[in-house]
Amino acid sequence: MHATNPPRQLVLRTPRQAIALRLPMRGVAVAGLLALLLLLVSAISLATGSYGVELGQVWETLRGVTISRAVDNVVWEFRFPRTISAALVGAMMALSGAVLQNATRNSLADPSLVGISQGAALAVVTLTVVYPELGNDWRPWIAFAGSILVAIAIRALSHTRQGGSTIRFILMGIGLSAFIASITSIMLTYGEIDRAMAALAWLAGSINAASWGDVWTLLGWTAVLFPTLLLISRAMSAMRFGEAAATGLGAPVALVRNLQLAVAVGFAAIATSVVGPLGFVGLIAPHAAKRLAPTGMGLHLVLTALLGAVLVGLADLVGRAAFAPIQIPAGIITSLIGVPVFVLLLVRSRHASSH
Amino acid sequence: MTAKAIPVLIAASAAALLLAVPALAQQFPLTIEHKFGTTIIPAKPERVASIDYGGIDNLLAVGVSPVTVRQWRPMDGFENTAGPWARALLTTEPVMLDGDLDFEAIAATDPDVIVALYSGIDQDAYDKLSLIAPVVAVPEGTGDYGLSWEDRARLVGRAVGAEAEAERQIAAIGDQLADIAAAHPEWAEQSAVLGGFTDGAPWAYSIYDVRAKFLYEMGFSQTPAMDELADSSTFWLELSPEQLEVIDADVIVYYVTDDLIEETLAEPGRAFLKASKTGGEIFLGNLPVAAMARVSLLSIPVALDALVPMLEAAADADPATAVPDARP
Amino acid sequence: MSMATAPVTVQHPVRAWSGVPALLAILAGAFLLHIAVGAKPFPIGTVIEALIDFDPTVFDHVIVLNLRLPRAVLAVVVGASLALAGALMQGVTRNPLADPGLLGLTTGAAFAVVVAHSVFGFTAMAAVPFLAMAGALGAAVIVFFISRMVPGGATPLSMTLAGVAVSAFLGTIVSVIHLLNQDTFENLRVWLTGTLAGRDITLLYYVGPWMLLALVAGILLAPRVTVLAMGDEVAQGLGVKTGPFKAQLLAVVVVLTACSVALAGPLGFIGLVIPHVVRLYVGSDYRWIVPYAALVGAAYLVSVDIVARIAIPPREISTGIITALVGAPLFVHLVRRRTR
Repeated sequence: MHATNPPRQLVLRTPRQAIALRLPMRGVAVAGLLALLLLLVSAISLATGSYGVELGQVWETLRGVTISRAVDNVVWEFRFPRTISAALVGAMMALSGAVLQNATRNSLADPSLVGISQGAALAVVTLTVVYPELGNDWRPWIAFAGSILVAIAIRALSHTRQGGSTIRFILMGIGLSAFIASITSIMLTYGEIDRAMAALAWLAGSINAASWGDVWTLLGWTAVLFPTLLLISRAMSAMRFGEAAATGLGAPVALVRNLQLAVAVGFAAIATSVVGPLGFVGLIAPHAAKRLAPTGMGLHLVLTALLGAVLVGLADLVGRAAFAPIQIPAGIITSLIGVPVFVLLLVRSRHASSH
Repeated sequence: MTAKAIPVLIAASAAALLLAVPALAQQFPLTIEHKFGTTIIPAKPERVASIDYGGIDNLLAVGVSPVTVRQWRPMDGFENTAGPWARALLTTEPVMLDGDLDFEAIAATDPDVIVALYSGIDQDAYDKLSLIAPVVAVPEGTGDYGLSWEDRARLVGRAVGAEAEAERQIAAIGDQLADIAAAHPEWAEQSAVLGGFTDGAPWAYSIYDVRAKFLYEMGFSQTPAMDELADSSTFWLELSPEQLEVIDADVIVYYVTDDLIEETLAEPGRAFLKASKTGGEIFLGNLPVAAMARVSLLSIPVALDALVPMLEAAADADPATAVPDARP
Repeated sequence: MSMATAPVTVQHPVRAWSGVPALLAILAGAFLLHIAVGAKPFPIGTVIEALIDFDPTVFDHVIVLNLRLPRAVLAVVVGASLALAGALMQGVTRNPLADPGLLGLTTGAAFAVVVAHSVFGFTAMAAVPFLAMAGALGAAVIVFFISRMVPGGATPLSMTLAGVAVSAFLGTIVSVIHLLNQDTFENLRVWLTGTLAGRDITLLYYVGPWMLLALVAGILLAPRVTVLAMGDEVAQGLGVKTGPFKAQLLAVVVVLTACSVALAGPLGFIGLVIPHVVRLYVGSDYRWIVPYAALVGAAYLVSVDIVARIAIPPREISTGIITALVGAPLFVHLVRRRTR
């Protein structure tokens, strides 16, 4: 794709070359910078809030020094899980978008655009409104089930004799999203008012109440999904050039395609189940990553995850500070940033009109 | 609680010489059971954070100025959500919570107890709040917004160590209602409805609604059609235009703010209600609605004082007597 | 997309005309049924009696004339307007997926009304249609320019995506307004779901003349849309000044959409669904598609609203939810069939 001028590369090899990583210098540098940026955003996030804690005190607290019980709570229980959740959720949504874009070969795919987030949302709202006694532990599983069903539906619908088409995939997603969203509206309108209000608060996409339990849920799923993704990343990059080419290159196309979709759905569903729908992160991050440093699939995924983490971290920060003391959910901020980016991508895309 | 009350009473009466201590002082640490578990309040709280919608009134009523309040009904235009009945009692400048719950803002006020009896918090939010201070939540089996006004006031009073004062005021409101009913025995023969029209469709609060209940405690009864429809799970009856008979009572109290009066007057169904012919209509207007909406120890007496003269004029079946309501 | 070059099939005028009386009969039937059903069903006789011999002292008559008739009239007017607007849009953009909702016009209109109402405290009823028109026009222009800037030009895909993006953006701003001042939003919340329930009929006096004008203009412009649908070059070759003509069509679409939104809130998918259904019968000649779309759209929305009112008594489903439930699957079907 960017073959005209092969970038300088850093090659890492294990003995006997079981795994060999060719890392372009620029990509590695960008990854380093992004990691620093993520640290910076996280530091600001840890130091920002209605409770006045000086940066020095935050640092002391993080080192394990107890300044006061209140400061401990604010830093460890309120800010830390929130900051980590924001980063994790951002990374997950970003990866979901990246994988989805690869799987559909559609540069505009995003879990919130093709109905996957809406599937998770409908499942969670149904759980909250109809089976409130089941509690929050079920949320990730239910969300996953809801999203998987939507993904299967889209795949079934967009598949033809000529194979699945990319444009169809996204247009069907839009149709399906509208359909699912109207069912969610029915749930909200006709559920008991208490339950509907609880569901509505969740639907705004707020990281406000993220707890350590949420962090563990996110981490646990990421620990399964991210390695899976790295394992198939080579086959994924082969599939960027089309399924026929990938088959020619010896990639197990059907398996990889299904795995990709499952991973994309998993990331989006779990992130959604914890904080509610966060729009457009999955769209912005992979594109920005490509723009910053064109790299191979493996490093591209790392960059994407870092970017997503930075993005949602920032969105959460802005939501807290922009209209303070009124607290704006991060989901609203990501949409406000995301739509112009989407339009920019649309305008710049080379292949949007093909097929 | 009541078993412990007698020795406490003796101790308290001794102390009464020194301070104006209520007759029934509470013993701390205090244990309160609720749907998220058990909360222990170690000592009588000084700094009380309220995250309840309309939570300021009951606290002020028992002599506590809260350190936080939740934004609610901003259309009433009350500073700090405190109505005119509450303003003079407010001695602090509470932090206003708006939008997503800002846990840090609550923590920054360093509260001794957090009152969450009408806030819709879930387990996650409860856990976080509990790190800041003991949280008083709704009892097991009660909906997020399902407490009666008495229980809400009682629990607020208990949480801040002023249960006796809360009980006294609850009893006083009960007495006020009983006095009103005794002074108007004719109301027992009449039906009344609290409700109105929304876009042509009538609606009513049933006897299970905290606001409408006052009407029925003053002696009025529901319409027969309402008796049939209402059960404890439906406090709000959303009706279709054809179900006019449900709200066709001797007295209809339109639960409307000033800006909706004109619209209600123009409702086509209104002319077919008997109350419109007998002068039995009441249009509450801003302040009485704000007072009724809050159903607090402070606002209920205000609402009743406003309501009784209106009801007297409306229930006399004489269209000539003008109802002193908010009609222009 | 293959749609643009589809050959024009012209129905025999006799067959085309033959549908009109049947449709009018169906519309009249649905209209009367709409009035007759409800929590208290009336015999059709009572409905007709109330309509032709109104007695203000009879409660049933008051229900029919003051409560049910306005809603049925709204359903007719809004259904006809949105369907006609959708038909014109599909013709002029040569986009089988064009719809005032999908292309951002309804959200634009809704956005303008919400902002004027809650940010500037602007509530004068006479201004509502103009606000809505300004919003719809603004959104249409933005969507059009975005899709023009996309490489490959204004294809159905780029237009739909631009429309979705603009709708999402405006919708998010509405959410922010909601968070920042909750009380004004309460007034608008129900309206934003798109419903015909409890609409203030007096607004129709302000909006109705504009809609009528636009409906007539749309039908008069329709024959030349057929030419336009074959491509700009063909149209220019046949002597159509495409620039001014497109501007006229845009004006008609904006007025119809904006007034519908002002009356009923954003109702989705009607403009998408109806023209496609109509094409099955009258082919691809817009001379017939446009008036048929108006008639079928009216009958469709009246029927949908009957379902919304009686599906789960005693409550009502928002009309917009049902139009989305019906329309979204059809959209998916069209995507499946029309694009490869």
